[in-house]
Amino acid sequence: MRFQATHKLMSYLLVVSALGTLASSEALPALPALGFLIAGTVSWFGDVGSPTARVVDRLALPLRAAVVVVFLLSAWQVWRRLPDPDLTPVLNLVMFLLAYKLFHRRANRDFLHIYILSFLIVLAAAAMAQSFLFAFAFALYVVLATWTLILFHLRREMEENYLVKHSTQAPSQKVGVNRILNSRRVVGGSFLASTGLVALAVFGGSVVTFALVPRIGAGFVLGSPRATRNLIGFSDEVALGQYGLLSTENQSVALRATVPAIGGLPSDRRDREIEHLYWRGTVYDSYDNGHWVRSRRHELRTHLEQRGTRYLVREPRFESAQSPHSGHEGLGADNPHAAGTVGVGPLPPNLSPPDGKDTPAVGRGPHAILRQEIDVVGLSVPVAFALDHPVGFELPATKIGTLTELRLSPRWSGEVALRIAPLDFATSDNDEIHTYAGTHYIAYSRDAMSMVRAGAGIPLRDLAPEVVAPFLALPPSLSPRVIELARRITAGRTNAPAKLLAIIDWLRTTHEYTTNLQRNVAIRDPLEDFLFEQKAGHCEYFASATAILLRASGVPSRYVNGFQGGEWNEIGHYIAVRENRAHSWAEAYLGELGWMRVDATPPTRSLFRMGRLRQLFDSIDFFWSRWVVGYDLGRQIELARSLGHRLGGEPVDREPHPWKFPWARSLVAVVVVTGLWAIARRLRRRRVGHRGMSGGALRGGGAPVARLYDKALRQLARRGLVRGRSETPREFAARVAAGGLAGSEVLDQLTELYVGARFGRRPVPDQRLRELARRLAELGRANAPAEARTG
Amino acid sequence: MTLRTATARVLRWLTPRRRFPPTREGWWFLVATLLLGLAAINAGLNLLFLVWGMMLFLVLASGVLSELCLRQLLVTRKTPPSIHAGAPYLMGIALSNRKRRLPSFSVEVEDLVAGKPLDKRCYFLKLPAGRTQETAYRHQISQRGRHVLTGFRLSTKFPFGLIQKSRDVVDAQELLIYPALVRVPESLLRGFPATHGLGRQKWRSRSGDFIGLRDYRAGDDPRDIHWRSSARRGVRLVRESEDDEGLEATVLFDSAGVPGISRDAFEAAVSMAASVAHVLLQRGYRIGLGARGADITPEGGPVQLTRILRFLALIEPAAPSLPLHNPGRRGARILIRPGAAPSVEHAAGRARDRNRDQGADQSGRRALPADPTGDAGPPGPRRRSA
Repeated sequence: MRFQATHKLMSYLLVVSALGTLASSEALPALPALGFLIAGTVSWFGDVGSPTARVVDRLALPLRAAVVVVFLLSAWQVWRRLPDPDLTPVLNLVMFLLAYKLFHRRANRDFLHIYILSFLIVLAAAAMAQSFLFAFAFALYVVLATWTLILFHLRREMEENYLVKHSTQAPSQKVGVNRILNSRRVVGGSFLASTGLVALAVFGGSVVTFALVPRIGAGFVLGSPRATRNLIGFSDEVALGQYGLLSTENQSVALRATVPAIGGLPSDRRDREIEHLYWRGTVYDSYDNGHWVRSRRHELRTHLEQRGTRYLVREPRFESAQSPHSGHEGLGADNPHAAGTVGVGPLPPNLSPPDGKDTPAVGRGPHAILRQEIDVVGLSVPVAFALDHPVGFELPATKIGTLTELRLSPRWSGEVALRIAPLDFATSDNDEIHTYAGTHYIAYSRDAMSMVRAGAGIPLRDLAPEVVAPFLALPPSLSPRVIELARRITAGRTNAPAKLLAIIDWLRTTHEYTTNLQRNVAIRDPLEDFLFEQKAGHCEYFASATAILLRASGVPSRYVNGFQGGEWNEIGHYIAVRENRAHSWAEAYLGELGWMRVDATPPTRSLFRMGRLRQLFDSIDFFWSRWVVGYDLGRQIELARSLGHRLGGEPVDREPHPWKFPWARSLVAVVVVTGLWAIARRLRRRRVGHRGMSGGALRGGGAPVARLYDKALRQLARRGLVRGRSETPREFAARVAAGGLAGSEVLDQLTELYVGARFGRRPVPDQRLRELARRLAELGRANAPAEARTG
Repeated sequence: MTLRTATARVLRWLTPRRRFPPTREGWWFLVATLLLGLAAINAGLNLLFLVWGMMLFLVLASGVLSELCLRQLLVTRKTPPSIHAGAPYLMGIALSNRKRRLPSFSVEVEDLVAGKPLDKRCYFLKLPAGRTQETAYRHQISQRGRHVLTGFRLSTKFPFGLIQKSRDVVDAQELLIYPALVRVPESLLRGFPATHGLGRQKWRSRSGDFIGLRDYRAGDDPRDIHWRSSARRGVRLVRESEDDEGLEATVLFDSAGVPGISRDAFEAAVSMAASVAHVLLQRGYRIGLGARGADITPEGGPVQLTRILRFLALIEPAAPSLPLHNPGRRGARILIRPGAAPSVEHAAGRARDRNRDQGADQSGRRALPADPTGDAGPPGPRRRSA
């Protein structure tokens, strides 16, 4: 391929790969990107002298004016959004400038501007990208950048230097730049292949840099976190009918959780257990006309007790003094494996099997605690999700030099919020919508059902009225027939558990699950409509009905939003929780039994499950989120420890890792590649023949003289006497002799033997050959070039 | 090979002496790398570390590839036969790539003088493995005399133009810069016909007195063969004739270092002497050169020109006490004195002088007054340029 065309192609591919990195960030504005692609395609034909270039030249002034206008417009848009600037106008400006430069490829400076602008795009993408697709686009960018910069350098050198064409047959002559730019001999396939290998080495080096540079700080220039969409159902107010419906078809992954106790189970049992996992999120205590809100009463505030990097979650107003949280005691102990990191630590003692084998049971029982490592993927809500019922959290240690940190802040009714806050940030209830993608933490949970035991809670009669009142409050607008319904359902049931069972039984008997909601607008309260008219609804209605009917029958209750179940990823060994797993349920306070999860929603059809390919992509994305986007000092320590164990040959005291380097496969791949390379090399040699500097192989008895002649040529080449391609052996020997080189007669004699053997098939006496070889070796030792000349 | 030698060799291979100053673009690139590194560390944006790593390793790759380009290169000079002060010349540079597989790209070669590069360089865009390419640079040196080229500097900005890596190769070579050739005034050349002599060797003539016989050499005019003697001796002999007086001339350069005569005047006189000798030799004259304490016997041809130019390239002001030698036996004498206009004295005028001059020796050479004032000094040692 011609040099100029190669350079142009590489430059365009570089721009495309830069856009690819930006596309992986989902920050690429669609319309400007489309316009840019069209403009870029047209600009391909805008070489100097082309009609397109002439048009661009004629429009130079308006185009430059447009550049200024776009710049001012972008600046104004950014300024307007301060102090929370939107980068989209900046990206638009960069793409506009890039398109202009692609049209205006006149000098080396224009190409340089193209490269700088494409690099700016990559920088923007690196700051915003969350998808693993960035890695592929970036690897491509590195390869293309290496090629392009090399070609750009050569082009500039061609244009700035006086070039001479060298020939042994004719005098040297000046070479025009255009001629050499159109040459096919400057760069070829082998050049691109070898420099491509260099580019891959550069990419590997960047990965090594990424892995090894200590993450000692964060946040100096982080700016305001980007606002993303909010997930309906986790805000301050929940309107019935929105959360469940909108999330049904949403298959985006919201959370990824590694639960060691789950991972060790047999697959069939594991899937069953996962389906029964409840990921508790937001809790609401006040209902009115189809809306759940938080009453925000001080006495309902969640109690967070910090111990090092851990937080114990409590609701002391409901906890019995005689039944302290035994699990909390365990959580309070220092755990060296977890200090400063969110790596998977050892199982709590009560989850370890008696025989020490890796077959733990899912935590059941009063003292069972499930440890979960949770990676937030697509949530923009400040909610610390955890398996029901969360009793503690653990956060990564604050990094050195950081100005912001991840924090937990208490909310109400056992709910805990995430916060990305500056170090001096005081706890507040400000629910700013930040992106929490990439956030990771460890949660400890006790099985909610295990809370149902005597002595866990304070008897209802002993609760302070101001504490229990919000959970018994019924809205004034509630229809009396709802209260009457509750009395009818629980008639004859004297205690709270019996009432609870009666309500669940009634709801599951008389109502159906549906996402195809019908609504009688004549009835103001959707709950009343659900209970008496539609008799069908989804989890929000069942949970709301459970909570309100419980309250109407005198049992304190609250409404909870979260997720149910998840999908086990066989490749990554984690549970992926999609948004379509969003679920609502209720919690009932059963006096001495404490708070209990109540899910009256009838079982539904199984949800969509990932295929193998999607599992693969999701596991890659998981790896990307955990080991690239979320790579921090803790991960570095974990990685170093893991490597140390591997190198030391000691068993890793760890749970099954979600990702392992495939040593065996890599070894096989290396062997296969080496074998293919050897075969290709052999085939190539067979095709072209093994051509040394002597020009070809000799068959039969001539081969030794050819090898000796080759050796002589190499020996002379080291001294600067290189045989030209068009020079015959005799001409070369004559040239060497004319140069007065000592021992040139040896070359004369060897040349005659070689020429005779090669072209005349004359036999070469072995003794004669040995004699020449000996003399040649002597000359080689005597004429060794000076060290200083070779550097 | 001892372990120590091997270790030293390996260390030298690993840490070759190189210069690698960044180019202007390289400085920008390094500053951008530094800033990006700070931004990545401070912001904790992990993907910025990837970009930062790319930039760092591009610099590293730049160092490795440029090193590969510069290794195993052999550079040699093709010196022009004569270099005159102030006159441009072409210095040939041959570069050989002795690597077996890898080509070298974008290599510049500079000659070094006292370790500093000349302002001219030779550029090789692509030098394939095992190949040699030649090019030349145009340069001029203002001062006559010895100039020592101490070596070469091989440099490259390949592959990205970020750093200009260079290595110096020691290859000392002495250049003898001949005096500048200037225009000789027509008045000085009056009486010296533009062409002289017959045959291919213009300074010899068959019209002069017979001197002797010598062996025939390739290039001799066959008409000069003395057939009778050749038949008698069995080898071809040619007749040598002594030219008439008009075919010989002597340039007398008064090289006395006299106070009041500037260095520029001395150099101008040297250039004039060289130029006169050059012109007259071109015109077929046998030219001799006399100076204070040294002289060159009149001869003709390019070898004589080289002889005279080498002598004048190195001449320095001599003590006024040294005699000004006159190697010529006959013909015109051109007297060149620093700070004075050159003068010519043709044979007719000298015949009168010869009758008057009692100081002439048997060979016709005589010592002229040792200084412009006419005070003759003792005869100095005779010197003939090699």
